Amino acid sequence: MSGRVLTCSAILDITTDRSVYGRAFLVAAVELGMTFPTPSTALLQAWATVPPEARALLELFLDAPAVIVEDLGASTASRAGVRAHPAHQTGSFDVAAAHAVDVAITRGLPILTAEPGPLRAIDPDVEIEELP
Amino acid sequence: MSGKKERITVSLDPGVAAGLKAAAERAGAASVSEYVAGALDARMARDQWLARWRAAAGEVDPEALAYARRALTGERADRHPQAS
Repeated sequence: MSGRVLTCSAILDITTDRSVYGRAFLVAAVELGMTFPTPSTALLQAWATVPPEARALLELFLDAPAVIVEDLGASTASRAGVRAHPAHQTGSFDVAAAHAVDVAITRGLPILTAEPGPLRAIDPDVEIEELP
Repeated sequence: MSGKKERITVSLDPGVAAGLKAAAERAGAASVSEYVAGALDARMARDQWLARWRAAAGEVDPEALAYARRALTGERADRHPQAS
């Protein structure tokens, strides 16, 4: 399976048209039959952040054949939490970033994001595709 | 999918036909028909969603789309575009 793991910033680029590249990546992934695993925690952040007028597009985004929502279960929480312990100690801990890094490592996929900082704080070596 | 099937004949180049049979076998499909039906179903779902997306969000910037295709297929862009 090929594709990219999405973060909240990528979802916001897609649903609010902050840049032309988020939507381009989504459309290209659907055309190419690739997958975009989307951590449920990133989705929560996106629902909290998008303006009301963008919610319909967020619903449509979730219908995309490429999008697979990755829930945060107990085993993922323990694995991702232990990995994020050093970041938590330095005060740069983000739950959704820790979840995204875990999904990326588990699936062997890069992360698509506009904000790589919180991901690097969790794992400096995680593969990241930064949105232009 | 419904149990009743309709037979449709298609013509393929010999190389494509051989590739199709090999792909169906690799995928563990019960038959070439089952493999083709699954592939067509997925393709039609993608096309339908893309039409809905374009109706709601408009056309994607062609240069950005080309950049995204290159990035996703591992063909790197000559240069990293500047944020718009």
